[in-house]
Amino acid sequence: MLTHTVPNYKAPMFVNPLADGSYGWNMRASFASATWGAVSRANFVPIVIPSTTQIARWFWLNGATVGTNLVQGGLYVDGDAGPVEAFALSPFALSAGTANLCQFVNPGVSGGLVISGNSTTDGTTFTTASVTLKAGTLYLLSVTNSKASAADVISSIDNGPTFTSRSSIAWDTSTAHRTSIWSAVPTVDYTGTLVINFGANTQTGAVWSLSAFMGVDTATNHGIVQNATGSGNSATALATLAAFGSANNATFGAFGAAATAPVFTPEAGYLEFDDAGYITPSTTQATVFRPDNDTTVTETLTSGQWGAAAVEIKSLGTGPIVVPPGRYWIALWCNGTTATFFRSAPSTTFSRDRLGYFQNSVNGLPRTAGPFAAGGGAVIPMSGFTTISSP
Amino acid sequence: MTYAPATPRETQTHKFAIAPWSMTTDVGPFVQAAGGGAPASAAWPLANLALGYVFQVNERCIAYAAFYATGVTAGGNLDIGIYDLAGTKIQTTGTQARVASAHTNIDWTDLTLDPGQYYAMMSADGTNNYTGWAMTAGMNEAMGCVEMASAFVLPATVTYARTTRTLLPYFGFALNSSSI
Repeated sequence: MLTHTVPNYKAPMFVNPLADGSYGWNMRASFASATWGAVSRANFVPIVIPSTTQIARWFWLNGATVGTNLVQGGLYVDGDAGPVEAFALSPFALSAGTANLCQFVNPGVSGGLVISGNSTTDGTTFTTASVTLKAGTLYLLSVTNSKASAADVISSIDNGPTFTSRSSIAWDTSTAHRTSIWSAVPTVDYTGTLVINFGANTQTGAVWSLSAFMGVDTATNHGIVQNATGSGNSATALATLAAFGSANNATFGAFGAAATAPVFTPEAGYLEFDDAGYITPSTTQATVFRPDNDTTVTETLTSGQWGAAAVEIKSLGTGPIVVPPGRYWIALWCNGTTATFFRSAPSTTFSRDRLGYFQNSVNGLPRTAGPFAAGGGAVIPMSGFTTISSP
Repeated sequence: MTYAPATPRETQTHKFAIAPWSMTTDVGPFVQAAGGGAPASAAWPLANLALGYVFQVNERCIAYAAFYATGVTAGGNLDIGIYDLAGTKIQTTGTQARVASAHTNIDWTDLTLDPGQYYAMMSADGTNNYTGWAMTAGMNEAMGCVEMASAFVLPATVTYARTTRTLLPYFGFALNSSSI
């Protein structure tokens, strides 16, 4: 085997785990079509980018069966012991196209759940778990709160970066619930709790979820283009947005129901981040996301009281993402085990040698990786990004 | 994170090949690793089809010859060339009678290549056998390989298209830098 001493100075057209300088190229295991290892699993494989390049498109090599599952690619910064922060994430896409051919996804808006929680203790404030927020990233905090009647608006989100109210709707009999979406784009990294503050108004409980979004044009209103709300007592919860400003913009919705979780079934094309809540009084909140346009943001439920808030998120567009030289991790995530991919499955020992990691993540690739396992169970998917826009 | 890339130094001096097994090609790591093994004789997938792979040189060098290999039976014609990323021809051998040989060099005018990325393209006017690697379906595309139909002889401008072929042909270029 030829062993050369100088790295190529340009990344290949298709950057993948076999690229020169990466760890996968010498594992000597063939690639074949196979189902994904586990539902909602993310695989990480280390690579080296020898010089400044760009992500023109994300890609993965479909196997013999395409369809059914959502897929997402990503590139992570290398840390002390594996991948850490997401450098860039692809929009998730439905496995589609032709068997044994690459599937491409242009850069766009990606999203994922960071944390969620709830409290049934009466109070004027509700405090989240400690969380790390990264500068320049759009965060949406969705909150559904309850009260005997006339559930109050949130007065402020305290402790962390400045949050701004983007959408809010009171709903239920006597408007005993309210669902709201607040946004923030930190200017500096922040680690700590967030406090959901209702001023002097005591609520009987609240459920919250914090989501992070990349690929967003945050210059105006944190990237929130418009919002819509809705409420009712039926089996279809709906918020209707106006026509989108760009075909590249994304859709996010928060839904509340006066019932015990899980309550909601997402509309096709959406990834449901969470569906959780508390019992007294029965309160559930679900959040959903899709990386493209949808004016009728819908979830279905067993008929009952519901409230809905939705926003349009402005995309940075499909232009290339510049990547400086360095050590990174290619990531690929799939939410099911029906679609197949070309992947290598070296022995457990070899996987550890190659430093492959995997992580279970139900809401797509995480903003911050926390792989829990190296080696065993890991495979090396044929995926990554192209530095050219065609063919 | 601090990343300090290795300092490039002259490495492609003297005789060196740009070929599918070279680490200076986008397919080299795969050919050497997961998809390796010896090349074998296989039919050209389609008459007048051009197949190509990406390579790069990290110092100025001279491509002084092209080469290919065939199966045991002579016949047919081929053309080998180098194109830029936009698909513009830099230099081709022109049509060449296919010779039954394990390895055939085609001398051509010394071509100076500046550092950069290029496509190596080869076209054949029939479905005669040539030596190459039988890749797993899809892997050629994932390694950045391309194709163009109705491309014999190799045209002035290649329109790169996605490839579904499994053949990765044994062809490339001999390099030196001794005259630069």
